[in-house]
Amino acid sequence: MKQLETIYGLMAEFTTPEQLLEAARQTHDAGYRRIDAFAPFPIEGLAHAVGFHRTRLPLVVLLAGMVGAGSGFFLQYYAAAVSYPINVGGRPMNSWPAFIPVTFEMTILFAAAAAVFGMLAMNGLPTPYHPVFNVPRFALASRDRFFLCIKARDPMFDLELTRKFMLTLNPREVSEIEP
Amino acid sequence: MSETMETPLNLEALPMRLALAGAVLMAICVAAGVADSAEFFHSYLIAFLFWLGITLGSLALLMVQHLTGGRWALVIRRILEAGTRTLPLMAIAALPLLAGMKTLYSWSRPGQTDPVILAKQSYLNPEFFIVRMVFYFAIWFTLAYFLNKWSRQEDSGEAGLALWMRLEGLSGIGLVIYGFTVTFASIDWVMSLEPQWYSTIYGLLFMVGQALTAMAFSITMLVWLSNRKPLSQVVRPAQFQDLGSFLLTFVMLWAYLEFSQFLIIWGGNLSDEIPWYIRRMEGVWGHVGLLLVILSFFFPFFLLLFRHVKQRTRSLLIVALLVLMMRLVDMYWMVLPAFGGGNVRLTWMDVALPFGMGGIWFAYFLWQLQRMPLLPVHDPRMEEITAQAVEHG
Repeated sequence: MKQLETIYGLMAEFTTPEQLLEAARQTHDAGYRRIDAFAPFPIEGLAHAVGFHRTRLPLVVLLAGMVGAGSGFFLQYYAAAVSYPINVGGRPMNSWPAFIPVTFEMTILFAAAAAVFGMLAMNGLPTPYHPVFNVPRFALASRDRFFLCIKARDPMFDLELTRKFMLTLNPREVSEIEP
Repeated sequence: MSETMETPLNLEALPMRLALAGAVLMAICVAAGVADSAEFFHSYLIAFLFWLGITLGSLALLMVQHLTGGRWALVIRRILEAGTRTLPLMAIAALPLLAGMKTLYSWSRPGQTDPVILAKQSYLNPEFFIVRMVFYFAIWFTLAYFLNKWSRQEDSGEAGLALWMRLEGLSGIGLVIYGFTVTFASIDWVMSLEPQWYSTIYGLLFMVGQALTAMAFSITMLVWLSNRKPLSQVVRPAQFQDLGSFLLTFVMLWAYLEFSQFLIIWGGNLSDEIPWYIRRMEGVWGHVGLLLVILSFFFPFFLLLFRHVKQRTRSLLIVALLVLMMRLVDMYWMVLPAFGGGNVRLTWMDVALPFGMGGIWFAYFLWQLQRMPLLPVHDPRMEEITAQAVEHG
């Protein structure tokens, strides 16, 4: 528990995406679960290698879309058939084909808003401060270097043992991340 | 690497058997058609439109691929090209329509009295109809000829970027020409079955229908070929996902256009437009329409939203086959009610003839498919795909 206060985790730097992918796989296989990888571009298979799990966001978006569709249709139905019925050219009060475009738009609006705000709520963005930026060379993660981080929160984390393990992965260097 | 990738497909006797089965089915239908020529030609038009849809849809998708330069279609490019090379067969298949013109198209019969049809007779007359049909096929054939010729040159490996640019240029112009010709062809061959009626969305509806048919067909073929030698080395779930997403796009676009036409005509409720939908909601056709909404839109739409459905070949194949089947049902719904609304029934010939023609079309397609390597190995974008394939073993 003492380590938690003094360190956020350990960061290994790699020069190629293949190294990072391989390192991530080995780290995950070794039993570490609180790990994160950083690369300047998407690497196929990396999310799977760090054990990225599915989120509940799709479900939230689906539910929001259904609420949007329901409310969009109800708004028109209530206005045109219940609250203020007007006979338009002899068409039925509940002219459902005419209601479809607005219903569709409302579905998209609600689903898209839920996707954006749900994503922000679930991944914690915007984050003004993050410890990984305390590693001086971390800025290269948006250019040509690849980083793997094992967090101190990981139950298997032990400063010395984990550092030794990371050195076996052939990194360019391993650095401590200040909290 | 390139040697194994250039091995052609070897199917042995399969095309012959298909052609034979198709010919037998067709012969039975022709024999039955002697007794009832009207029914024969109704079914024949449906069969012709369905298979022409794959041929022309392949042409359109091929041009879209050349124009956008996407990698998504490299694995199905040879399938699309073989599809476009079935055009000569479809040109021959169009000839019986001329023989059945008087049976199919009420405007072509002499002694018209309806002022609407009389006013349209400078366009809708048998001679001009034939001239236009020849013209459409000549244009489509020219496009298909050059797209295939240059692709074959690319295979020799000598031609470079210049050839690529030429393919891109032709595809740009070709897509515009395709848009116009298919619009007019759909008016001539299908919309004019009910000469009083008109819809400005009709041409687009056909184009999207053709693209949808060709995409579903290509996916079906790719799944079938993906465990054979050259393709098994490069085809990965990511490519199926891309093609599945494309199929989803066309499913949505088709539904959007169908609904737009329906909403406008339903909203207008005018006496010269609404009969088209009344005929298609009478009797059994109302149920067929509902079936189309459910099986041709809702099912593929919801299934294709899931990444797992698109990445697994078996589930994607099921969706593609469903879409293909519903394209045929859509043709029934578009064409058959024109001959009398709810009184028209689906006959055995409406099923047998499309399958009969399909046997011959598919045999011809497979024969064409075997004539070129299954992958455009010398395409500049191919390197990326093969590199990824090597990486993933």
